[in-house]
Amino acid sequence: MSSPLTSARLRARLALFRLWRLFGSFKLSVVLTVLLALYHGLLAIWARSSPAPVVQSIAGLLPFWLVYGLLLANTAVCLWRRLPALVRGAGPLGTLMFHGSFLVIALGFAATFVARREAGIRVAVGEAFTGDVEQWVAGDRGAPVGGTAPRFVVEEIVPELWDDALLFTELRARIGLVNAGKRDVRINEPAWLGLCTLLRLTGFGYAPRYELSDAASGKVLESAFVKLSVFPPGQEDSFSASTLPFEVDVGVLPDAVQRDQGWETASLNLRRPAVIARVFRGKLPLAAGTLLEGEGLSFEGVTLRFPEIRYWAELSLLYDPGAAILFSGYAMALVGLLLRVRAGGREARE
Amino acid sequence: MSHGPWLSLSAALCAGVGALTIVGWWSQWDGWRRLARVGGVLGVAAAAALWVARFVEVGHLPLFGTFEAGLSLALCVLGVAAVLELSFPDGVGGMPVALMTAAAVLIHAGRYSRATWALTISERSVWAELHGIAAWLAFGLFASSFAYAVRVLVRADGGADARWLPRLLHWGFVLQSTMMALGSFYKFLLFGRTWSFDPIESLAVVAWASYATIIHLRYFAGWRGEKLAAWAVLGFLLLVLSYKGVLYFPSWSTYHILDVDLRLHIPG
Repeated sequence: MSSPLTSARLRARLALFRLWRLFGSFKLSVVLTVLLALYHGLLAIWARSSPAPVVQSIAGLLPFWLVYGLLLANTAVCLWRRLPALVRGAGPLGTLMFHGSFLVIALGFAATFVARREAGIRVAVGEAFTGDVEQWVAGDRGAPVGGTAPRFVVEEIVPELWDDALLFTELRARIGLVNAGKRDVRINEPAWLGLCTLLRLTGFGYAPRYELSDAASGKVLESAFVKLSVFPPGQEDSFSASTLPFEVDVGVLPDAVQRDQGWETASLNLRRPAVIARVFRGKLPLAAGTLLEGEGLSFEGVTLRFPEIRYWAELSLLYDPGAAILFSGYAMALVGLLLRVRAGGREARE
Repeated sequence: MSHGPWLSLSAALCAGVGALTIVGWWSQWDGWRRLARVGGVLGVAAAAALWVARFVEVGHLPLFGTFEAGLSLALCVLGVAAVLELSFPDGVGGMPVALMTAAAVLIHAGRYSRATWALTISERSVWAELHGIAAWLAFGLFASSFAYAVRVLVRADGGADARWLPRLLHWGFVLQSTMMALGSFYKFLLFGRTWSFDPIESLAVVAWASYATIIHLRYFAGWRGEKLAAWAVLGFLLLVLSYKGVLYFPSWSTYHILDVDLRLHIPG
């Protein structure tokens, strides 16, 4: 007769054995894969009526994590139980690689979830990025990895629009990295600064240089580039003079033409830019006008001019240690599938 | 070039020959197979001519937008079926259903704008092209699996050529997985994220997981014949939903509506 302790141990071992068998069963794999399909079907339906952040929140709920967790446990136990059979020949090796890749892919997603950091940078053509607080997009200040941000100069920005429609056919920024040469960065071609770090081009805009001068003597009192969100034309932004008490609302016409109805833009390309400016002191309107290059707007003893307009680029410094792991997982899965299918084809012919 | 009449003609050719061969096959007429082969070759020629004409017209692979995607899909559906039909003396026998599928795809494509637009920045990448090619080849292989499965179900002759269905499912699954991996990689280059639960991604997982389940059941539960064929038909319906369903989503909900007029809300 066994003691109560031995009996409890036996029961525990039996329960563990049953759990092990359950997790190693293909029936569980099928149930979980069907659940995965159903869950993603629900997410797709949800996306018809809810914005992306809501769908992403739903995808992060416990039932989803449970299915992913169980799928991984099921895959791991199945692989472990069938390991001796899985290393014999190309076909079984393919099965091992394909299913093993799920664990690598999960690791990649986990690393992204935990460590991914991204920060936006705005720099105008000719401007050196020094990591200055003003150059980071608000809320993103500081290098995302906690280390030193790369130093570079934006040498050129080339936007191309198709038939003057708001369709970009090209948007390229040439950057000169300190000690790392020149790189072209496009929206879909980031510059890799390391295995886990890349610099992406995410947007662009106009940076007019304003000049406030004494109306009588012509002496320049203040001048600076301001990076404004005034693209596409029609959009307005504003800036404040740094030493004088003026605020200026600005819109840009990149290819200005004067018609009967007033000023318009003939295209979206920066050919003959004009700045639509409204100047305020507090809430008091002081002056307004459409200024071509070199033209001035005078008020309260000063003259406002916009002598030049440059492009600015919005770049994003991204650190994602999970992406490389994830892509390795994809490669492993595809190689595994090819091995499996080729072996399967031979088996079928035999 | 106006594709309209040629598209209608090609769709009519595929539908007509497909229907004739289905009737012949149903009534066990000896010549159905020869007719299917001739019709298949004509269908491929018509689809290839449309595809090449569009390629010349727009100056890039016709992969973007529902009209162009439809031309590529029809070519892949017919091309895969024709290669299988001509390469193997006994044949897979799926050409009649493949012809009907191609006709449906062409008719659907014809309902969307044929206006030519320049490729936007996000479409100008070899990765986007590889992703598209993998997608359409996967669709072609799964369409052949669907065609063969229909044949098995209608004539209940799955035993004779049972090897074809799993092989088509396997190769389709390889290409579908490749398409998803390339899509995720390109998304990372474009948006800095590999996954965002966009409806196109969720629908792709639905189709992928469905085929994964079917393949598992084939291996571990020994599914074959009519049972496997019935589930292969269901898998293909989910695949069609995953490829075309996103068109019925609002344009703000997905980055994958590639028809410029739908994306910019340009009235037709």
